[in-house]
Amino acid sequence: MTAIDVAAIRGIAADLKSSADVVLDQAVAAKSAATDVASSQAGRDYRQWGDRLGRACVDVAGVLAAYSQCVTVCGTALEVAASAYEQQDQATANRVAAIEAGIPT
Amino acid sequence: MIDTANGLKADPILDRGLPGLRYFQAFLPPYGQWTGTKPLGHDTTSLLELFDAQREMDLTGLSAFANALRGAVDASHYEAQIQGNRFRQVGVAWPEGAGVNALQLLESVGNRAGSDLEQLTDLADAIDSTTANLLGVVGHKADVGASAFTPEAVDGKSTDEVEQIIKYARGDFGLAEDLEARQALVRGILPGFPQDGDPERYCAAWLNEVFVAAIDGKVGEFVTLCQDTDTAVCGFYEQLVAVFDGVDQSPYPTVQGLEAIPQGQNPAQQSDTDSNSLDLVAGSKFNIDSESPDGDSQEADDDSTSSSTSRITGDENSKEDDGTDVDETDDAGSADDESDDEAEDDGSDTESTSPTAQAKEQAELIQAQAAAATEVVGTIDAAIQAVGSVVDVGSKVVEVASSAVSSVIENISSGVDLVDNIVDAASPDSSDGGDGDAGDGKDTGEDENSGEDEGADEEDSSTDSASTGQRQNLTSGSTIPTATGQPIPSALEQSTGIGAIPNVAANLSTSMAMAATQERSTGQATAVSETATATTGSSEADSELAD
Repeated sequence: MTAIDVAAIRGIAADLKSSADVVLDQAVAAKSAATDVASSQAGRDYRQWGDRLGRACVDVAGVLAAYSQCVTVCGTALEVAASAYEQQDQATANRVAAIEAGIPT
Repeated sequence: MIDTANGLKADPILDRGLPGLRYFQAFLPPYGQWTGTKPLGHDTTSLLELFDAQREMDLTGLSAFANALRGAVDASHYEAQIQGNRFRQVGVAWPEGAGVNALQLLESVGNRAGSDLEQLTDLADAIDSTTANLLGVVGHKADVGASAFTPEAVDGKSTDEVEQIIKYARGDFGLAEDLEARQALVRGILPGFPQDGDPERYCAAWLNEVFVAAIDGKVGEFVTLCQDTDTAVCGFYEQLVAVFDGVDQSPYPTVQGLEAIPQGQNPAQQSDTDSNSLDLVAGSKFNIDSESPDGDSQEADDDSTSSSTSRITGDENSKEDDGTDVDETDDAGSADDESDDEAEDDGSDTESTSPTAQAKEQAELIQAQAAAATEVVGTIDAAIQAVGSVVDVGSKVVEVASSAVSSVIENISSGVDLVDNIVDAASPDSSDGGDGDAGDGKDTGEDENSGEDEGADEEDSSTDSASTGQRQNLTSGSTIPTATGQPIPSALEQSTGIGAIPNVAANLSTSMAMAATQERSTGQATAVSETATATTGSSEADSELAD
């Protein structure tokens, strides 16, 4: 019985990371646009609103980046888990084979 | 969505209202001549400042950001759907144990992303509506200013006539010295002048009751218009900032609820360098590919405590701000449509920000990302270790079981050999040694002294040599282990720690139950254990058959 389909998990992880990259590209584009929002553009008497809006735009672009980053981390975590399961499975198989062959482990 | 082709700048709109300001340029000087004061404390310059409060407003960048954000959200929506499908596939490919937790985490990420994308869509809409509202209220001011403060006359009197009335009110009638001539002069400007009225007093009364009141009223009306516009603009900005603030910027969910990548915050740094590399790609790309927030942001941080309220409560901070950001204003004014200028703008902004501060910001962000990744991977490592320990337990169980089974098989082989020997000895075909074996069937150790017996065993010399130890054990009082609960040889007992063969299966079952409880996903180990149990069971059956 195998409780985890390592190949499938790896495929899912790769897809997630690839998808996260697309989101990250969008986040970068949004941030690039955000950096064009200058405080002076709010109007002569409204520079402080402009400051806040400029920073808020960058922060909001960061939400997309954080989303992308989270999905990337999840994909990486799935990869790590799949690899760990695979390695442990192989190690166990090797140990059992050694026992069956009478080789001290 | 705003049509940017028509321009999103306030200056051309404000210019439409300039004719209204000429009203005050025309009548505030005579007002001052007559009263020696300013209407409601305002002169032409201060009124112009009020009117021009929205000058330099250019919402092109903000609108472009809304469009970029909307495009990013649309693309991310599509990716979120893909991710949602993959999340569900995790539940199929890894349906048990940690896979369940992984699926829960991924689903929470998907839910959070969906909520965020909705908020960002609403934000893009809010930016568009705010942009339209801002330009609309500025346009309203300009249009009212242009219409409500023209024609340039007060009670039908031009500036020259008002100045003449002021002269009359002060007794300056030029060459007209008699009363009738003066009355005629006044009646020429003010037709309502009574037949026998006092020219000076009538003119003074008109100035005080009509002209000054009219100017005071117009100035008040204009100031109110400008203040209302200012209040509306601040309100629109405040509402928009509130929408920005409403966007959930808390950390995304991670494994076991660990917080990761808070925006602009640094969780405790972890030391796992391997895991640090996990998510730095995303973070570094986000920071490097696009310019970090310009120098304005740093300056803005310094001013952030005063925030918008200072704008509302007073202009002192605004004036200080104007002073410190002159270059920026100039840049914005000259870089409306030229990307080169924008690039220069960015450059100057970058220069105005300390490189050390930028590096520090990036380092802090990287540390935050690394710490979050470390937490995630640390959790994964812990899970893996848990799995590994379970598998180790399973492996040890398998080893013990295998050793026990090997011993059982050896003992069974010894028993079979012994039986063979007995059978050989009892066989009529046996030429010698039969008596000895038959007579000493339960004390085979004595066979060592039988030369005939040695000869008879030559055919199975290898088996004999292997079973010699068993025979010695049997000689010392031990018995062949069987499924009936007889004690196993003491050497085997010591080496395995298992008291009796039947207990092996029970121990395996217990271990498997523990393993299943600790981590269902260690199916491999469990499967091996089950196989070992089955092997033990068959060995027991063989043993019984041998007996």
